[in-house]
Amino acid sequence: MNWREYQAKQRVAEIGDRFISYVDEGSGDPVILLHGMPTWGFLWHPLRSSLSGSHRVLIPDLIGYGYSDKRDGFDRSIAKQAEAIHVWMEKIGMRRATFVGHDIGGGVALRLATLFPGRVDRLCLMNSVCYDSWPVEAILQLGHPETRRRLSVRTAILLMKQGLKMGFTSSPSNDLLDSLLIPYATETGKLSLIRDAVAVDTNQTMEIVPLLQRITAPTLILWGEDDRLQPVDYGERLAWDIPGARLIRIEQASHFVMIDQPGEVERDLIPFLGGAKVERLAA
Amino acid sequence: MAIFNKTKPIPEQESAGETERIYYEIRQTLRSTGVPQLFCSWAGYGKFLPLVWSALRPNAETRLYEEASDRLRAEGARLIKPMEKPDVSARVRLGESQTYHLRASLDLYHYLYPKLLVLTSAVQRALAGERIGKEENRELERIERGAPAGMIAMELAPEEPQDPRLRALFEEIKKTSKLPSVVMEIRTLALWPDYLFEARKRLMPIIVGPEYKQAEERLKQTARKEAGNLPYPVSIPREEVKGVVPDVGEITALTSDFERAYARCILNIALLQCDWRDPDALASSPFPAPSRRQVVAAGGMA
Repeated sequence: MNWREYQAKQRVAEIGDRFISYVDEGSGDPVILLHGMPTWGFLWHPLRSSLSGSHRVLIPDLIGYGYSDKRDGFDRSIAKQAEAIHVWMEKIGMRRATFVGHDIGGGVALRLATLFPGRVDRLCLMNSVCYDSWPVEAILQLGHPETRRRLSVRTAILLMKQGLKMGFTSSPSNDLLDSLLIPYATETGKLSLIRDAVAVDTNQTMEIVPLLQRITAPTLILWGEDDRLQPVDYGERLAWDIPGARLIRIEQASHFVMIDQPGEVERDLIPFLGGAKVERLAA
Repeated sequence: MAIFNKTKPIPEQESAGETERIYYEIRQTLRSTGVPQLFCSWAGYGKFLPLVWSALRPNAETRLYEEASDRLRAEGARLIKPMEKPDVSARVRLGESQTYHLRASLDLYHYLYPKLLVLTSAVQRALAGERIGKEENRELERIERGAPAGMIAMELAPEEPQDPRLRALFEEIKKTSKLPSVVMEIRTLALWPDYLFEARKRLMPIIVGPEYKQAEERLKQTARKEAGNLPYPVSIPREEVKGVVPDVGEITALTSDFERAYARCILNIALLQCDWRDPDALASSPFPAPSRRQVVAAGGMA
C-alpha cells in the first residue's frame, strides 16, 4: 500500500476547533496506534494489516502531524496531544482501548495511562520518549523558529531523511522515507513540523514519573536495542517503574523497531493484545 | 534569505523586516491562514507593498469592506447557477479525510477571493488615477482580526513540483495567466493531482463558454463598483509609485492580470463547490466575521 492509498482510508473527526485524521479498520477489541516524530500514521501500515483481522485498529495522526490539523497557532505538546486523543475517543464513542505508542506517541500513551487511566486497557510502548530521554539534538535544532527561513522545504526533507536513517538497522527504501515525510513536504507541513519540534518538553514526561507506579494497565515494552536516539536503558527504567511491565529487547532493531523487525514485533505484540499474561519482573 | 529580485514574488517564508511585518498585518486583517500571492508579487517591487498596504489597510479592517466582498461572493454564486456543473468529485476517488481537506480549502478560497478582487480593483483604479472610496470621517465598525477558528491552513504544492505532469501544467498556466506564479488554489488542488487534472478537464468547456465570459466581466464590473464605494479613500499617487517602482506600467499590468485571475477564481471555486453545496448556500460567507467591538466587550484584544 502506498501513502496515497493509506491517506484515502483516513477519516476525520472534529474536536473543537481542531480536526484529527485517522484510520479505523477491522473489528474486535480496539487498539490505538500512536506514531512519533517526524512521521505520521502511515508508519503503522504494515502492522495495521496484520492486526485488523482480529482487532479494531485505530491510527490517528497526532494534531500538527500527518493529515490532521496543521494550522499554526496551537499547542502541540504531548500534554495537549493526550487531551486531544481523550476528546477524540469521546467523539467516536470509544471508552477504552489498548494503546501502542512509539517515540512521542509513547509519551502520549504514558500520559494517557497515568492521567486518564480509565481510557487505557493495555499499554505497549515501543522505543518511547520518557523521563528525560528527549528531545534529541536534531529535533531541538529543527524547533528553532528561524529554521523556517533557513531551510527550504527540499533541504528540510533531505535533512530529516538523513535523520530518519539513523533510526534503522535495516536499510529503509527511499520510497518509505519519502512516504513517512510526505505530509511535511510543503511550506505548511514544514512549519507544522517546526512547531511540533518546539513543543517537545522533558517536563511533560518527568512530571508523570511519580505516577508510573500507579499504572494498572498491563504493560509491554518492546525496544529495539540498537536505538541511539532512545537508548534501551530507558526501557529498562520503565519496566522497573511500571508495575508488572515486561521489557522485551529486540535485537538487530533500532528506533523504528516495527520496521526493522516486523516479525518479532508481531510475535510479541499479538499475544499481548489477545490477553496473554504479562509476567511481573522481580524488583 | 532569497536574493532580492524586484519582480520575483517574495513568498511568506522568505519575508523579512518590513515585508514580514506587513505580511502579518495582511494575514490578520484579511482573516486568512496565508498571505495571498498578490501581495507577495507586489512585495517583489520593494517599497510598493508598504505604499499600497497603507492605502488599503483602513478599508480592509471595516465591516463595509467585508460586506462588499460578501455581495461579490453572492453575485458569483448567482452567476454560476445557470452554468453546467463540473461534477468532479464523482469522477475522482477521494477518501473522507482527503475530501475534508479539499472542501475546507475550497471554503478558504471561497472566502478570500472576493475580498482580494475588491482590493485589486481598488488598486487598479487608483493606479489609473481615479478617486476611490468615500470620505468617511466617522468611526466605522471594524471586524475581528485573525483567521477564523475553522479555517484550514493554506497549504500549497511547491512552485516547482517533482511530479512532471504537475510541472508541465504549472508552466502552461503561468504562460496563459501571465502571472509570475500559479494561482494559489491551483497549487492547493495540486496536493490531490487526480482531482486537479479532472477539475481542469471538466472546467475547460465551461470556461470557454459565453456565459462564463459574461459572468467574469460582470464580476469585474461589480468589484470595481464596490471598490469605488469603499468607506475610506484609496490613494496611491502616481508620483509616489514612480518614486518606488521603475516601471509603473509593469505594476499596473500585473495588477490587471490579478484582477482578471481573481474574477475567474471566484467562479471556478464556486463551480467546484457545487459538488457538495447548493449555489444558493454558496452565496453566504463561509466565515462570517464577528465585530471587533464585540470581541473587546468579551474581554478580547482591541
